[in-house]
Parts: sequence; C-alpha cells; structure tokens
Amino acid sequence: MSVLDAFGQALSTFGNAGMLLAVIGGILVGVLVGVIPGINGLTAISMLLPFTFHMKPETALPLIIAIQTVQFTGGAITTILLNMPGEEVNAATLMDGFPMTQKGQAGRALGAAFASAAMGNIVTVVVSLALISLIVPLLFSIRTADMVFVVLLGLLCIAALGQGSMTKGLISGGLGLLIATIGTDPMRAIPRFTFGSTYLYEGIGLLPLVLGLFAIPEMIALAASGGTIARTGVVIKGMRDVWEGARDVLRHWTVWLRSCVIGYIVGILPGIGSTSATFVAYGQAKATSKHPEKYGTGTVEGVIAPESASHASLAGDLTTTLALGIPGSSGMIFVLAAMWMVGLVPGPDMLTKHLPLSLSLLLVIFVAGIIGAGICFLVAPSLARIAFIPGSVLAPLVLVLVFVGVFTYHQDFTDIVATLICGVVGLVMKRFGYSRPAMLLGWVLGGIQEQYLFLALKLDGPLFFMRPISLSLILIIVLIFAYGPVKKLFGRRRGLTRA
Amino acid sequence: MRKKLVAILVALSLVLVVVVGACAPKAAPAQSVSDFYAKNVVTLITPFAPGGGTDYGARTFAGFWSDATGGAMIVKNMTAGSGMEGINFLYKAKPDGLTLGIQVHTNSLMWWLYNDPALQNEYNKFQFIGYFLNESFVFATAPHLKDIKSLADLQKKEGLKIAVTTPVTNMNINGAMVIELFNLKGAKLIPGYRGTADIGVSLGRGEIDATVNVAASVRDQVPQMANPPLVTLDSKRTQEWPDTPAIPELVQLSGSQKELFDFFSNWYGGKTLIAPPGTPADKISYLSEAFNKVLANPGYQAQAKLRWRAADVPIQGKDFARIVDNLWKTPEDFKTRVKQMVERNTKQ
Repeated sequence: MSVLDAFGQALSTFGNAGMLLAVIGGILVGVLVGVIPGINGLTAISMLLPFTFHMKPETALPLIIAIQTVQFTGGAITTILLNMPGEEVNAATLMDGFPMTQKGQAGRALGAAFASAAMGNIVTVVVSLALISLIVPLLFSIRTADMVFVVLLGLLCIAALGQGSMTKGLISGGLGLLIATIGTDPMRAIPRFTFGSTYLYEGIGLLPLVLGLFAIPEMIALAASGGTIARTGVVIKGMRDVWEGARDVLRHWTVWLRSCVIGYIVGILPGIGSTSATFVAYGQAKATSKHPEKYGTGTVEGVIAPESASHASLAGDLTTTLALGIPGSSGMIFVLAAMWMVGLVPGPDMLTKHLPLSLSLLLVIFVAGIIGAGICFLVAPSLARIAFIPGSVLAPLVLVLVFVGVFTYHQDFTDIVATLICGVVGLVMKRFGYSRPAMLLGWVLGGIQEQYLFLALKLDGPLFFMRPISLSLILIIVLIFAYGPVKKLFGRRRGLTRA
Repeated sequence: MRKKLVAILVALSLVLVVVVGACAPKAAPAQSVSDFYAKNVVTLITPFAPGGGTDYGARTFAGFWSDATGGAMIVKNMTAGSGMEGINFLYKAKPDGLTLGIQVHTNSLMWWLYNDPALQNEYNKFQFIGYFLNESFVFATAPHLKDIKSLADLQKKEGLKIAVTTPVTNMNINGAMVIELFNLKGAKLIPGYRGTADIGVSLGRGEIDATVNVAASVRDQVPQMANPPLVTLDSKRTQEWPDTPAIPELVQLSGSQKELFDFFSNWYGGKTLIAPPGTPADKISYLSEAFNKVLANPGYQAQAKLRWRAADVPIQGKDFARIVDNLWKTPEDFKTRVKQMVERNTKQ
C-alpha cells in the first residue's frame, strides 16, 4: 500500500463517530488535567487504561494520544499563571511565562504558548508523515556514545538558567544532579542515599519534586504577600492580548523553528524525554539571542522556545513508539500498553500492514493540537484573570489540589511527606535566589547521563567520543556556548576600530 | 420516697440497657466464603507501574474476577523500591483474604538471593494461590549477527557483548549461565540498561551482540532489533518459539553445570498470585478455585493471548508452594557461587 493511499484511509477514519468522540473526549480531559495543578496527564491516562480493554483500536489509541497532546498545552496555563508546571515539560516555560504574568502580560504569554504548541504539532506531524520511513534508520545511526553528548547539551543549558547569577544556577543544577543519585545505582544496583527506605529506591518521585519545588513556595509567597500574582494594575485586554502572543510566534519564527527541530529530534531519540528538549530549546534561544539578559525577566521568546519544543517532540516520540515499540516518554508507555490491550504489536507491521492506523494516530496529534489550542485560546482571557485573585483565596485552593493530586498518583502518604520536604527546599531556593528550573533539569538529566556515560565507556572504551556524530555534537556545544562571548568580543573590536 | 426513686432508676437503667442492646450492631451471621467474596472488593497489589506487562496481566485477571466470584477486584499499583514496597506491604496486610498480590516470581527470588537489606518479607511464607503467565527466557543475537545460526557458530565468536539490565535481575543470572554453559570465550554481560526497550535500541544499533530476555519481548524485537532466538533457557522448548532448541538439546551438562541448570529450572519466569501469611485456609481454597475459573474463562484467555501468545500452563498454589520451599533449602554457599558467576561474567 502506498503512503498516499494509507494517508487517504487515515483521513477517512475521522469520519468515524467513535473516533471523533474519543479525540474530543481526550482533548477535554487533556485540557482539564493540564489546568488543574497536581493532577497530571499520566494520572488521567493510567485511570483510563483499564477501560481501553473494551474499546476498539481506532477509539482507544486516539483517546490516549489526544490526552497526551493536549495535556502539555493545558499545562502551560498553570505554569504561566501560577508559576507551577502543569506537567514536567512545562517547567522551562515558567522562567519567562510567570514573569510575564507578573508584568500583566498573562494573556500574551498564554497566546504565545498556545500558538507555539499548535504550530509545533502541525509542522512536526507533517514532517513525520513525510519522513516516516527514514526515522528508524536515523534512530539506529545514533549510538549510546552520541547520546552522552545529546544529554550533555541539555545539561550545559543549566548555565543558561541561572537568573542573574550563573554561579547560583550551576549550584542549583549540581544539587539536581546530586538528588538524581538518590536511588539505585544503575550499574551495580546498590542503593544510594536511600537511608534504608524502600520509597527512595527509585529516587525522588516526579510529582513530589515538581510540585514541592514550585507549587508550595509560590503559594506560600503569594499568601504571605497578601496580594495577587499580577503586580501591576494593568487592564486586561482580553483576546487582543492573547492574539498578540500568537503573532509573537510569527515575529520570532526562527526561535520557534529551531525549538521545533530540537524537540522533534529529542522526541525521536528514546530515553531523553521532552523535558530536556524544552530546556535545550530555551538555552539555545537565550544563547543566540541579541538580548540574552532579558531572558528570565518576562520575554515572550522564553515562552515560545520551550512550548514549541515540548509539542514538537510528540510526533517523533509517537513514531518511535509505533515503529519500534520503544516509548520515548512515560506517556508513550501507556500508548504501548493500550496497543497490547487492543491486540496491536508495535514494529514493522505498524508501518506496513497497519500504516493507515499509524498515520491516523499522527493526525490525531495534528487535530487535537489545533482544537486543544483553540479551546485554550477561547478560555485564555478568562483564565488570565486568575492573576488578580487574592492570594488568601487562591493559595489554599491550589495547595489542596496539589496534595490531592500527589496522593492520587500512587495513593502513598509518603509522597505527601516528600512533597513537603521538596517544598521546604524550594522555599529556601526561592528565598536565596537559586534557580529551581536548573535543579529540575539536573535531576531529569543526571540519571540519564550517568547511564549513557557508563554504558558508552563499557561499550566503546574511553575514546567513545571519536565518532563523527559525537564530534559534531561537541562542535555544536562549543559553538552554542561560544557564540555569545565571541560576538561580544568582535563587537568590542569593531567599536575600537571605529573609534 | 427514696426507695421509689431507686426503683425508677434501676428500671430506667434496665430499659436503657435493653434499648442499647437492641440498637447495637449485631454480630454478622456466619456467611459462606463464596458470599464473602461476592459481597466484598478484593484489592490486587501490583508492584509494577501501570502500562507494563505485569500490570497488563493483573488488569486482565481482575477484569474477569467478577465472572468467577460475583465480586469486584481493583488493581492498586505500588511501585516504590522496584516493587519491593508493594510486596512488603502485602506481607504485613491484614490476612482477611481481601488483599492479594501479583508478583513476578523471579523478582522475589532475586531479592532473596542477594539478601536485599530492604527486604521485609519472606517470600516462602506467603500463601500461594496460583502461578500463571509463565514466560521462558531465550537467548537472541543482534541483527548484525545474522550469520550465527547454531551453537557452534556462537562458540566461534569471541568477546560477545550481552546486554542485561541492572545486576540484581534474572536476566543477569540467565546471561551468566549462557556464557558458562556454552563456554563462550571472552563473552561479557553489559549491565546498566534500564529495560527491554533500551536493550532493543542497542541491539538495533549493533552496539551489543546479544541479549537474554523473555520470549514475548524478543518476539516484539524481531527482526529490526534481534534475530529469532538461538536457545530457549529452559528444559524444554517454548510455544512462542517452537523451532528454538532448549538447553538440554544443545549441551551435555556436567555435574556442577547440571546443578546450576536444575536450580534455575525452578525459577519459573511467570507471575504468582499470593496472599499474606495467615490468610485462612478456607479462603485460600476458595481463591484457588476462583483463580482456576478466571484462567479457564475464554474471554480471559483471549485477552491474555494478545500479550502472551503461548498457551498458559498454570501451577496450583499448593504445588507452587512446594517448589518455593525446595528453593528455600538452597545452601548459602550455592547462592554465593551463583553471585560469583554473575560477577566474573560481567564487564567491570
């Protein structure tokens, strides 16, 4: 069957009422879980998973993928308005998203986030459709040794995340790397820093860390300040503000495009995760900006970069999951499980016999991305008003949702304790100006880097980096981080020459 | 006057006692075990994350529980400590028959073998209801080694890199056993992969030469990430790979090799349905019958077959308990030898 014929069949599945209902249901669930702090998409999907037993493949899979697609879009809302990542991948967005809200530009930040998301989804789905047969060879050409430098690129972005003080940013990142060592040594399975607790055998949990680091300090600070999130008494411009944000994406199309490329490539590569793509995108946007000093103070490019990357990664992640049965993210593990439940086996068949189904799932990302962003656009002006709710009302409400959400995930009270401890850490970091996103990035990538580095050493020895792809990545790393200083140096010389 | 007062007080007290007694919750009348399970919800502790193979098995089983008993079963995932927290929790749970667990048998054996300090349960003291979803391990090579078609070809290749996950897993022991039984020169286990998915990618890239894994996982990897397996690490062939010979067909095992192989033949790669120690015998008996009913349900079989294509050969709980008891008689020095075998065959 030709790709065009398969594409035609894929399009026709959207005429199926069950499929459409599943997509719409997934969109609504995705927006809801993204918006509610504490309840994340993985929780929603794990609850829905048993019901997929009784569904047909063309209903079950679109439902899960629609949730996956839209949860990041909805997650940007709490990130921007409350400085609380709705999903882990939204953490990079808060570095500029929340400061924009504080400046009274919440609508613009939301508009930029949603437009980046929708456009990122659209373009990368089209690319996936065009390149679907090339993705597997591409994936196999990148070795473990190369992955060391892909992850290193992400880790080096920690330097870009320190607002005002690079030293503090690096300390935060180092703390994140240290926390990443809690758990079991991946090489020898020896418990590290677990203090005899089985809870810590797998390290600090994602939800307690993210919500503890971000939600608790923000709500406590809000309650203590006695005011509202928005610091300036700016009149809400409503939809005009939101559309301004959407136009910003077109104005800064190079930032958007580069971030999409980063997100898509990271999405294809299993084991790294979309979160690192968002930080790499943010880091490269800052490093190549004419005004890097504005990043972290509420610049719209700081929202465009991570949101584009997070959404661009989905299409690549799904393609790898379908073609190889290798999920690149936790969410895709559920897609894989749903595939088993409906009798589908990931692998070559998904790109041949079941090609129409695979293409229709990619189209679900396309459709859900547009509709999800559309719904978010419509509600954005109203949601922007959250920035003006008194902290005495907002803080307790949000904190209740956070703790309910943390408990819901594993029904383990220890998660609540862990969240509180992370909350204390987050408070101290906020008080003394240490970057919490940098710490999160260190935590996310630390374990991955350790695994890849030690595997690379075992597989290829100490000269594991002597490969074209690895050397190219090293060159890219050097170029990205040397760009700013070199540009400054040439700028000074030009100034002296003119003088 | 005083006497009348006392009499009234005594009468009132008696009335009060009668009223309170009448209102007090009566002791439940003795009900049959089947009524008990028809009216109560059973919690199935699953020490693995949602979406994985064991979780799929648990949810499939739970989905057909009400057909067998008339009651409901819910799955509760408790994944902390690589599942140990869930099993520790189950061990200490109230033995009322309403909390059960599903465990990958070899996981508990590994914790026992390595004397994991966080272990707070004794696996052999659980009440075994049944064993099911058996999976044999197989040994498969990477796509770039298509020319290796027999044991003889395999033995000619020196320095094979065999991917495994962290050291305290069944995969490592099976991998070390393959190296020793087949006398593979220079072959080493490469630990540190997070799971089957990572190993598959590495196989496809050609970074590693082989892996040992459950038959169903290798099926998913062939042909992009693995060749059809060369050996089934069991005493007989598996239905998943009927053309793949079992170990006894390929090698004549010597004394110590046979001792090692016999030991691992009792390891059984499937799942056990277990109840906390002290669960009453009548409930265990009922649960065993319910277990058999679920497994005999055509709907359950069809659902399970989507993941485990080979027909299941379950083992009854009391028989499986004997297998575990025998394993628990393993001398400490043998356990030490097994660990040393893994250590010397692992690339440091």
